[in-house]
Amino acid sequence: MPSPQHTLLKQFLVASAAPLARRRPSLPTMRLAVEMMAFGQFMPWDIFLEEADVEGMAAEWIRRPAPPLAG
Amino acid sequence: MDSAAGAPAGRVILYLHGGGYVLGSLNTHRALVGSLAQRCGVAALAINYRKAPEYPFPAALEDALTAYYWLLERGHVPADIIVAGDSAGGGLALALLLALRDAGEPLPAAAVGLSPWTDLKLPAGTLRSICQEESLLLEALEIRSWGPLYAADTPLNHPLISPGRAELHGLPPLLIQISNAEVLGDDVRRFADQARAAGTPVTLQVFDGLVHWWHLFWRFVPEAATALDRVADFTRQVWETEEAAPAVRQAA
Repeated sequence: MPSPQHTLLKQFLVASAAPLARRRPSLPTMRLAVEMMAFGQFMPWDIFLEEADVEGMAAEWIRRPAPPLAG
Repeated sequence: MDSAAGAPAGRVILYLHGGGYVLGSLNTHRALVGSLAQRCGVAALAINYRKAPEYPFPAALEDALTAYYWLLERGHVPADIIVAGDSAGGGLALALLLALRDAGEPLPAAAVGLSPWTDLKLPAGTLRSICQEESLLLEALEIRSWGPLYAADTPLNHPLISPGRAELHGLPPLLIQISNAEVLGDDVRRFADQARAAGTPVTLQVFDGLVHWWHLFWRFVPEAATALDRVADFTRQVWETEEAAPAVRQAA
């Protein structure tokens, strides 16, 4: 049995279907919408980001901070 | 320390985000990957691979391979790498294993697929009555067009596009999570059965009644947090086995 939180999420998604189908958003619009949804996310506590360049491709290290060096 | 990236040269999760090969980025999955890194207690490398239709197959797979080799060049051994991804990223993670296997390259320790997209043909039974509500949303998003956008001139049943159509022998342990009420459920179960029949160790975890991409909502959907905890359990188990293996070989 899914949790109430999941039921709420599902209701939101289902309610989004009809307006989406009517509007038929373009791919750039969908990309923008997904990016904007990401603004509401927050990193877990004690996790840090570091940009990386993987042969010209944007990437990120996502990790806990390294422990302090002994001595 | 890995001086180039500042991350410790050790165990790492190479994460490939989902989004149907056409959407998604580092931004959209940052919190999910962060939660995974925290629970697994290791660093994660997330990459922004190229998306269709601007960059069709095999661009995304080439980028995943580039990231894997990049990790190897920086001192990570294959046994210290677990490849993971959700939805299309999960399918891409499986395609990465297949490409490495076929090239005779060293394979990572394991792979994790969170509701992986294993068959881009989306067979007729895929958008089915059990998940009719979700199907409405996905049809509204025209998900059926995303596979062909990625595949472009390559057939959708190409094994590196649809890993469910590949020979699945000789792969490292796989953890596959799926919901019994999501559109990809049947395809993923079929994939797991085929992989097991081919001798690949598969841990299939089926969740009840959840929508596709539920992992993204880990902060407020408890089932998602549970699923990520199970991923962490799996990664620990894989790496403990890796640690024990040399000792067992020595004892033998």
